[in-house]
Amino acid sequence: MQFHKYLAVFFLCACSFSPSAFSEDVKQENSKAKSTPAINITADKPEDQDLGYIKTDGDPLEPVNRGIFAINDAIDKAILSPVARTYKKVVPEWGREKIGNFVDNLKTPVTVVNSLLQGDVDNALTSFWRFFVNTTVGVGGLNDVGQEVGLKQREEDFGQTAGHYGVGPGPFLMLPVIGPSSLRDTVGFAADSASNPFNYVGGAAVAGKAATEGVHERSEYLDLTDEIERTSFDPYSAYRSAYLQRRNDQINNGEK
Amino acid sequence: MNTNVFKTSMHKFYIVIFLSFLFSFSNGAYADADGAKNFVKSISDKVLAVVKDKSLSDSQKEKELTNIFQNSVDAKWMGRFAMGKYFRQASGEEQSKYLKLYNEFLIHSYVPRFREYTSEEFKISDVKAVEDGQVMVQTELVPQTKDAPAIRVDYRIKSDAGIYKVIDVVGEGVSLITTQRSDFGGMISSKGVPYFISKLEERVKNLKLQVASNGGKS
Repeated sequence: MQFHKYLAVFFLCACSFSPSAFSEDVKQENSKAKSTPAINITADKPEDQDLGYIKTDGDPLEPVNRGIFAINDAIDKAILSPVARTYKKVVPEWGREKIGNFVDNLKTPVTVVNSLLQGDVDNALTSFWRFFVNTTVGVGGLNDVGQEVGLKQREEDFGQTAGHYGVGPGPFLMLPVIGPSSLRDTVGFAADSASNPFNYVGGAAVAGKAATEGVHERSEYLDLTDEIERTSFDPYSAYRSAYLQRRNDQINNGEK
Repeated sequence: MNTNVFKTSMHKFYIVIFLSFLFSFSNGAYADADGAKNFVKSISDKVLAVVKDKSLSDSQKEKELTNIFQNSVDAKWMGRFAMGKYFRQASGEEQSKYLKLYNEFLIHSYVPRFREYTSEEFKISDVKAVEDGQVMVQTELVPQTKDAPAIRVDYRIKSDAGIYKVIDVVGEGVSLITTQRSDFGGMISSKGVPYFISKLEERVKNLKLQVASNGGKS
């Protein structure tokens, strides 16, 4: 519950940040979609090209973001990542798989709603049946029976819905504890939490759900974060770029 | 929020990058998307043959895979892209030193990771023409466990006078060279080019030591 209060406060703060940067971003994206150069005169100068990938360098709140990133990093190294490593060591793979299925299943209602909002009836129905089958035959979501019978998982959320209708990410935000986000996705995340029926089942259960999700999901991307630590020179910038690209890909459902 | 984004398959992205490179080298000329597709397929078979060959020691495998890498990847092109606007600000001497280090950085970062390959199945799902006459060969790495989702890895391929080269690897929508451009730029914008190059040199040195001491496992 406290988590939600915290989010609401942060959401309000976020909204007071530079609306101009927000609209600029949208404009940029629109103009970009129209102009694909037919002839490439800079072929021999890769440093001047962008290959049509989205730009990930804009960062009006960088000083604040970097401050939060440093704190997050300290918390992560002291608590989150050791706990996640222990979890990965202690809980066998099949157990973690079931916990992952359980956590994913609780998010499915949000996916159904957002698929409908995007006019994606196909994914809404697939997700609805996934939820039905996994909750019943899959024993409360512990088993992903849906995947086995060909109901493929594709998560949708309010941030993606906004992106689907042309809302750009706005300024990049580094959220305390949660990590990389954007103005659009922070608002979306608040809406996801508010619209998820499983966040209204009672204080202790919600806290338990949040803790389970947190530990499990941290453990799932240990490999990624270790790899970024290993290969990057400015991890903050690497996370920002990867985050913005990944979200863009999710909004396009991997089809662009 | 990052949990949401990276959870499904991003965590494996970097692990499979080495495979991505290796699966996609070139020694011939193909004029069309279909040719590029067949080419990538035949290469993936060859790479898997090396990785699965029990008669080769790990260091022999590494040598062979490095050869494949050198023939297939245009590291010079990638290095220039990754440094972006700062490449023009660097002196000629800095540029050539950087490109040499960048090539080694890629090799020593990703080639040793073939040890983490666990019998994923490699599938070409689509081939698309993209900007500048380049081709994106879209593939999937399908894990053997039945309910784990496949990992999408795309290779961006350019052709020069019929010679094909890989110039980018895109895992789950995240482009390697675009991420590097932000990553490198983040350091260069505050510390400058010479500092960055010295850090890159240090990193390459450490990666080589790591490979020598524990076979690239961290």
